[in-house]
Amino acid sequence: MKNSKLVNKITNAYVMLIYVFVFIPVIVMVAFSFNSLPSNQHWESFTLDYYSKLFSDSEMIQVLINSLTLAVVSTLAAIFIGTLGAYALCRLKFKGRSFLNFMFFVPMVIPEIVIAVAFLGLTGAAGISKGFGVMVCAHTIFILPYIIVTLKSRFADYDVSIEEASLDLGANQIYTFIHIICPMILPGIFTGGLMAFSLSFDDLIVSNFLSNTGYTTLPVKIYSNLKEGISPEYNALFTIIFAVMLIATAAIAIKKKRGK
Amino acid sequence: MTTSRSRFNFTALVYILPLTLALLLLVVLPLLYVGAMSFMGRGAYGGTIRRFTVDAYESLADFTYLKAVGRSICMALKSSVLCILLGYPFTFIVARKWKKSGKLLMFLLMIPVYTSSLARLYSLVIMFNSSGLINTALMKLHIISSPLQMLYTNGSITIGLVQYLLPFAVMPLYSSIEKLDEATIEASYDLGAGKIKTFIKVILPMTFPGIIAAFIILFVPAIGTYFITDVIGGGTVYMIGNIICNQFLSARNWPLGAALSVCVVIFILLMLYLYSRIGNLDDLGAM
Repeated sequence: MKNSKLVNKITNAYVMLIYVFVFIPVIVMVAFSFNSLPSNQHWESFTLDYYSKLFSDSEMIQVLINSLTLAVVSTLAAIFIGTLGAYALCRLKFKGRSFLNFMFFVPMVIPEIVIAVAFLGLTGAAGISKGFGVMVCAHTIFILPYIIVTLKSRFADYDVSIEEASLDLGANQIYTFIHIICPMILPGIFTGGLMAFSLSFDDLIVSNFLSNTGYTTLPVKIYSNLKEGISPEYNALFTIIFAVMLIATAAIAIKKKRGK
Repeated sequence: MTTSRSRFNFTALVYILPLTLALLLLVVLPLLYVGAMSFMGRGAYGGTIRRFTVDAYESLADFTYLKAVGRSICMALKSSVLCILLGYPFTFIVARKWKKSGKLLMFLLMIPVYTSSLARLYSLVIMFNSSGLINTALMKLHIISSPLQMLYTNGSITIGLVQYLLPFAVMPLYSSIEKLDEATIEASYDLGAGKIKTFIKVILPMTFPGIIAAFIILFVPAIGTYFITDVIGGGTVYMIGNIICNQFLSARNWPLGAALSVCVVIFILLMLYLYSRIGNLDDLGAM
């Protein structure tokens, strides 16, 4: 019917439109990282200058390493806490379970600015100095809910009987958890971990409040320089990050398909 | 293997101990301290003085603050509603037309989220600039003769917020649309209702919890993410996040910032609790 063909075209077009709207800023960023003119408004010619400049900018590399370390440590901590917690919330019965099910969402729904000032005030009052340690704590707690939610749905998806079979065959809880359960939910850990990592790496608000002169992260540094405009080096850096994330996402997606 | 309610489940303790400790030390304690700060006195150079006072809340009741908070809520509402209006059809089409690759297509939309939000924001700025891409294109096509002022307007802030938030909106929408009960929809068709009527009277109500979940996920960052309004708005609009941030960084009125934070947190916890009564909490961050 002609009508449904038109509807088909419209729905396809709409979906494409949304993708374009969300991707345009990224595409512009990638395009201008190759722009030979430092201005972000006129295109001159293709160049890889800024990419090579990146590797010699020691300040930026230091800040980048800071961000990476922070993100990796926070993500690992969140994965550890979250995997155990998600398993318990899904499989085990205990007092306070429904309360815990509600509570772990709190860091996800309260604004980051509140988390930031809360940590700022608390560490000041307790005499703890700002810096890496405090930032790890703050990052871990606000990325934790994303990991728990992802893992809860993975746990809910797969077959409990495999777990029970393992226990029946004589393995204890710990062995079952490490060698049977964890491999099965590994895709979930990767998906959640990727999300958690990007949230931590990209975080500005919490890091802005908790960083000190000795330790800053990449977004904080860029934000403070933003008034002068993002130098094309940053565009290059972001393009690289984008490419890495793209590859990581593709890898996870392919692994998922193979798993099926 | 069932555990009776009265017997203490030791196995569970091992699993939930890290989580409980983390929540206690890193969520409950800091939030309680924010509450405490809101009742403290204002330090001369920032910080707080340990004396009990409700000064902060009195200042908060001041009309100028209430006006700013009200404007911030309006802008956040606008952006959130827009995100849902844009995101719902998208999710609906993807979830029902391409059922098999639905999750993958959703994942695709998340990719820009994994790129720096600052970079995406700045791309928008250079596009909206008076000599930026959009103005240059419009002028070359002779649609306008002089550049439009797009930056630092409410409109551009809304677009910036929507661009930032849209991928987050589709997640909870997708899980609720995906779980639509086909049998009920079929029954509606069988009883004579057309596509539009079925949508309004059957599908929309069934996905209502998903819409509320999306709204919660959108509204909170909309009022709190101060750097978006800072960069695109150039400081013309103050969201609640900006106000709180300023109290701690420039205005040096920590108790006031804390008091505002307390109000925000109470409001959000209330929303969260009400939502948990009508919908599945897990849909809030489903991926």
